[in-house]
Order: sequence, then structure tokens, then C-alpha cells
Amino acid sequence: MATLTAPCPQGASDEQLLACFAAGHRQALDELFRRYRQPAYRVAYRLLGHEADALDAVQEGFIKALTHLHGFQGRSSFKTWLLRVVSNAALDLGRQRSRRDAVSLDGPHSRDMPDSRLLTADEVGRRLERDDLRHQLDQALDCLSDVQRQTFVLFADGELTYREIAEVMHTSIGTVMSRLFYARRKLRNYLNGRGSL
Amino acid sequence: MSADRDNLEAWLREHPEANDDLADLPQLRELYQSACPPEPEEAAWNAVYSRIHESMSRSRSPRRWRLAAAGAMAAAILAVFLARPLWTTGVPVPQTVQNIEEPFPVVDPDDVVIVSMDARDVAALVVGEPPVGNDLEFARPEDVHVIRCERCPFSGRWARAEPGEEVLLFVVAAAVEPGND
Repeated sequence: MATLTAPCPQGASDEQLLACFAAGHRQALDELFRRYRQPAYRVAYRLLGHEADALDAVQEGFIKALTHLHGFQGRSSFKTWLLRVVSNAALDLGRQRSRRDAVSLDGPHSRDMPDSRLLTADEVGRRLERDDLRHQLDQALDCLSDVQRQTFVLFADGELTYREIAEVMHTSIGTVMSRLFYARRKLRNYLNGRGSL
Repeated sequence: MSADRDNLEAWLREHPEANDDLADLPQLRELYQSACPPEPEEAAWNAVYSRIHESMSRSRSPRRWRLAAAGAMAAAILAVFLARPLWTTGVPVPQTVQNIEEPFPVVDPDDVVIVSMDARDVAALVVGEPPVGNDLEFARPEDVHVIRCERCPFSGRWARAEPGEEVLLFVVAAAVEPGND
């Protein structure tokens, strides 16, 4: 990729960044990645339940989204386009690597402790509580079908609107609401049974 | 958006039982957001970014090289074609067609998006992927909403929708007596 010296404007919109990226500005790719890596990662993590797999899905999603920008054509926001590609990549990876195995084998406390400093007893307690809750929430997602899980994760972690989810999943808003309705019912039943709600 | 609101209200009118469930959907979303996945370390992010950047560099550079090569070859062929009359002498030159043994790469799979094709032609694809790689899932049970059941015009029987254990079942009811519908 050719790297040009003229910078992209400060606070550029997604459209401006994409235009800069098309012109070969590395800085634009840097900014797009910084801007959307977190929602992309959260969606992928919820669908896969594993950090390394989620990072793989984010990587594949960014590459596919940027390589196939002609398929995007500005009909939706770049975030919507990216989350569509990332969530599809995550589901493909999940089918290959079996999400359920990853969640059950990983457990709530065996990883995800990147902070190497010494923690106070309170901090440890809070972190364990949060990890335990997150583990239960991740397990609850397993009781959903693929499309229900993808719909709910795009809603909860991707923070997309019903319309944006409908665009991502190539379906109607009514179907999105229906899937959220059934997903919510299953999640609530599961979490009530575990005493998490 | 008013269209979204209309859609939502129409759907809720058809599914009144969903009102309570949708009302606390935002709470469920907040619950999930409160227990968001742990952030990867900066080193992990940097590694991902480097691989993305490398991949984008690879996918761009060869394409530029191929375009330049294709342009050069087209120019050479055109020059040969235009200059051929100048080389013509009294001695007939045998017309031979030079076989190009090695295929000339014009596009790579990333450049090709196949929107539609006959399934019988898949084996003949030389570049790109068929548009449908996996099984098609047309609808799931939750996607289907029964609006009404009508009598079969051939058998005169009615179908009756019954909630099954997993999915909605359609059961054939008894034939309707003449004049009894």
C-alpha cells in the first residue's frame, strides 16, 4: 500500500477516512481501526467466547470489509458494514472451532487478567464477580440459535438500531424484533434459572 | 425515524404479548454491556493491526503490478499489429499462432464478486467463489407467522395450526360437509 504524506483532516468522518484510505493514506486505516476495533471485538467475542478467536475475526473482518468496499458503496454506515463482515466471520470461525467448547473449557477465571499489577482484595472480588457474571451471560447466549445470537449481540454489544441490524442481516425490521423477542425470552429464562436476574 | 416507529407499532399490534418483553430489552442490553468482554492488551491490538496492514499492502501491490503488466502487453500487441504491414516482403511468411502456455493473470479472487450463476457452471469457474457456499436457510420457525388457514380447494379439508413442542404443526382436519363452511 502506498503511503502518502498529505494527512487526512483532523476529526474526519468515516466517508472522508475511506476516501483517504482509497488514496493510500495509512493514517486513515489507523484511524478506522482505532475507531471501530472495540465494537468489532465485542461482537466477535460474544459470538466466539474466546479472545484469540475474536481477534482473528476482527482481523479477517477488517481485511474483508476494506477489500470489498465496492460492496459497501455507502448504503449504510461503515460501522454497520464492518460489524456485518465481522459477525459473519465470527460465525464462520465459530462453526469451525465450536464456540461451546471454547466457553466451557475457558471458564470464567482462567484468563482475561491482563493487568499484571497487584490488586486489592476489593478489586479482586469485583473482578471475580464481573467475570462470573460475564461467563454466565456468555453461556446464556449458547441457548440461542445462530441468527438469534447474532441479532442480540449486534443489538447489545454492537449497539446497532433495529434498522441497522436488519441491513446487516438482510432481513426485515419485523424479523429483527421477532428474533430479539425470542432471544430475550430464552436469555431471561436461562438467567432466571441461574439466579443472575 | 417514523417508518421504524410505524413498523415497531405494527409488529407490537400483531404481537401484544411482546410488549413487556421488549420493554425490558434495554435492561438486558445494559446487563450485557456491564459485563463486557475483557479488552485485549495493546500488544495484541498492534499485532492485529500489523497483519491487517500487511494484508492490505499485499492485496494492493500485485494488482498494480498486474495492471501495469497488462497495459504493457496490450500496448506491445497493438504495436505489433499496426507495424505488421511495414514488415511485409515478397517472401511469404508462414502465419503461425504462438501458443501462450502460461495463463496470464488478469484478476485475483478478491477482485471478483459473483452475484448470480447457474449451479451447473460452478465446476467451470476459473476465478472467484460461487455466490452461495453453504446450505440456504430460507426461514426458521420464529420467522413464520400464520395469518390465516384456508380450505384446500382440491380435498375440501381445512388445515389447523397447533403449537407443537418445538415448532408449529399443521394438522389436516376432517373434510367439511357440503354447505357447512
